[in-house]
Amino acid sequence: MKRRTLLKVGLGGGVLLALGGVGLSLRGPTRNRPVPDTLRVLSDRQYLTLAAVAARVALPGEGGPTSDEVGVAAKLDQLFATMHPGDVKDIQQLLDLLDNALGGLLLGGRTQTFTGSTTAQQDEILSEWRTSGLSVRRTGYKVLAGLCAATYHADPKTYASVGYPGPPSYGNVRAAQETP
Amino acid sequence: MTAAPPPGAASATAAQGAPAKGRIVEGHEVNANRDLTCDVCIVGSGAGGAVLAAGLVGRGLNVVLLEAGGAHTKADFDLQEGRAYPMLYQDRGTRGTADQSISVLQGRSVGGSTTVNWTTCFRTPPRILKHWADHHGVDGLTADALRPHFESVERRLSIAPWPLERANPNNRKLLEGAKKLGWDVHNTRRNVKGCANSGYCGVGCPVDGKQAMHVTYLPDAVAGGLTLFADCRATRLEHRGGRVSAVHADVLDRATGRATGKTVRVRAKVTVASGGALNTPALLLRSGIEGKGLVGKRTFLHPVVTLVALYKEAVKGFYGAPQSVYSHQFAEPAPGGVGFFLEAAPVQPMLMAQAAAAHGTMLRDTMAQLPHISAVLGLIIDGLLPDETGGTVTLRSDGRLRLDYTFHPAVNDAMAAAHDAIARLHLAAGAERVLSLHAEPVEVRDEAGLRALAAKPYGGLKHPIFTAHQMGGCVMGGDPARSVVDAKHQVRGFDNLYVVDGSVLPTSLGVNPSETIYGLAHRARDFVAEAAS
Ligand SMILES: Cc1cc2nc3c(=O)[nH]c(=O)nc-3n(C[C@H](O)[C@H](O)[C@H](O)COP(=O)(O)OP(=O)(O)OC[C@H]3O[C@@H](n4cnc5c(N)ncnc54)[C@H](O)[C@@H]3O)c2cc1C
Repeated sequence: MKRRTLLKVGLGGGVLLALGGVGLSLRGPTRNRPVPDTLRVLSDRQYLTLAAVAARVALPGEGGPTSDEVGVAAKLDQLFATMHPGDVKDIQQLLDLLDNALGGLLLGGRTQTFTGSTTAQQDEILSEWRTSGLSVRRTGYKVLAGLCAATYHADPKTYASVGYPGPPSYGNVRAAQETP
Repeated sequence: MTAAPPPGAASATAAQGAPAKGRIVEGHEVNANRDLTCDVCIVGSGAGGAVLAAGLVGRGLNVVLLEAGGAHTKADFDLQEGRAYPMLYQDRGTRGTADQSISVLQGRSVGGSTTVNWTTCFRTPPRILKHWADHHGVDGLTADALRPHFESVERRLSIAPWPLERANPNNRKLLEGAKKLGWDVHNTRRNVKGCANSGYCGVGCPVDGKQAMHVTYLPDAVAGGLTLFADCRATRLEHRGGRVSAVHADVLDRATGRATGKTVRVRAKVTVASGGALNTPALLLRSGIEGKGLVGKRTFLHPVVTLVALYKEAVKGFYGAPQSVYSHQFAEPAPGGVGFFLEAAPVQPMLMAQAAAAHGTMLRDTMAQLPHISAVLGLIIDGLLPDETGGTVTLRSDGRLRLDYTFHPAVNDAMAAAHDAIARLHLAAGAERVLSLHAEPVEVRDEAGLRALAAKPYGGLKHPIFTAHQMGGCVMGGDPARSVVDAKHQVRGFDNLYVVDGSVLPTSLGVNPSETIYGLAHRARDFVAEAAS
């Protein structure tokens, strides 16, 4: 199977993960942040991978919270619990692929997992996915970066750091409308 | 059992406060399977379904409407994007083409996309109607024939020009830039009454200023007797020998989106699919209705591109009516080309962050400028070239809809031209710099920057692309071999199945689609009523 085909199939069908017995693919996640016990959809590893991605996608602006403080990955887990299971499965496979050392080797010549990489390496990996010649990686980038960026910037705790005063309140207008 | 509401069903009040004869039944109220008979069953409560429902109820017909999304009111709209998109948009706000080259914004609640749309209203341009007549054999859709329908809808929805004095600074950039360049530029018409000019149309109007379906035609219909099941997703149409015998639907738990196990079955004399583009073709495909392979084909999206323009002064594009100015300067290209039109977008943080499609310092530094960003959109007018196929809706093995979009080379050229126009416009309006959203962005300050911008690649996954206008997939036409519905919206090969929504449009429109869909639905009332009586 050509590398390109393998990767394409891998995203949809978990072929890489089916290559059991290959030492690299079995390397565990790096547990460098706590995993909440409220997860509804993601495995611990998928959570750690998503949280690591979020931390590199959404850097805090001036005085802004970190993505962990916002709880980006935990919020996404809650969102996934309300999405079509098929859509969620695609995202889970993407996370599995990203933190699979064998996948890293095939995709980018690296033997570390994503969670086990330094932040500089993680930035590099994200940039590579963003500009990759393989459309499957650009697609993966759009999914993960889009979800993390949107979830981070939807949180009112981040508003001040981007100069957004937040939405105005229309309670008074509504109250006036309700008054006969 | 007829469509009479169950005891305890939530009662909807009519727009003017008169006691309603009908009901909105929410998912949590359906504790047993329901089996209903009625004259007309409509699937989908958006622009098409709502206008149609009101007209049919007004003609004395017994109508049941099924809507997958929830029934929400202004009290639910707290203007927080993080709450609104999952609540009010398809796929919790994450819909996209299969390869994610195009992010799809599409509504999912009582009122459909009108609950979240940006209120810009245009009648269908006569040149588009002529194109449909000449190239798709669509009979009877002329500006004259549609006029009374548009006039009626415009009255009911208070569609009127939005005064330029009330345009927000973001729209003023579009106005000023276009004026300086000598381009065509005008103020839009909007469907609003008592608009607070908040800027939050996209997350549900907080004061019912937007005259969306859930505050206009749907309350009218409920007042007249409509039974509307919210949180109720039609899964398939049962049919035999060219007649639909029943619509099968799952009741959904609003919080999780999962089926509760309760079902609704509606047996109607006439069934109307009004689920909107993408979803109506998917419903037909799930039901084994393929229209000779045409269902799902010719899906057009007005693919949208934008750039980040940075101004010294604060623009605060997050506040004020999102769209109040437009330019059709580039809408009618030379033969063989694809045109585009220019409008503004709300610059709210979540939408902006998603549009930027970036990470790390690039995302952070862009977002840090939020109050100074102006966003003008280029909407590509796809579907008018003879060899354009556009998007295709198919089903995945688990029944989910899949959308693929083929970028015609002329569409890519139009996206390049739109980038150039938007950058020029901002420079003319006084922007300090304009940044493209390519992975390696071009910073445009002058002609050299414009040349660098022109040298960039354009197309799917080369830069972010959005759509808020889904059209086609069950296209109307005169030739049975090339169209899914005839000019009266009747599905070919079926006695009692109609499609009344944006999926019937044979091409994109070159203007925002809602008023076209309202107008077509208003016209379709007679056809559907006749079939049901
Ligand atoms: C963010 C945004 C901004 C926009 N701005 C503008 C604008 O300014 N001007 C303009 O003209 N247009 C605008 N539009 C587009 C416009 O609102 C739509 O083109 C129009 O509402 C489409 O009408 P429709 O009836 O085809 O579908 P919709 O209005 O989308 O309604 C379809 C409804 O059917 C429901 N449905 C689908 N399938 C099923 C099923 N199987 N069972 C039950 N229910 C189902 C959906 O949940 C949805 O509520 C905007 C759209 C968006 C998303």
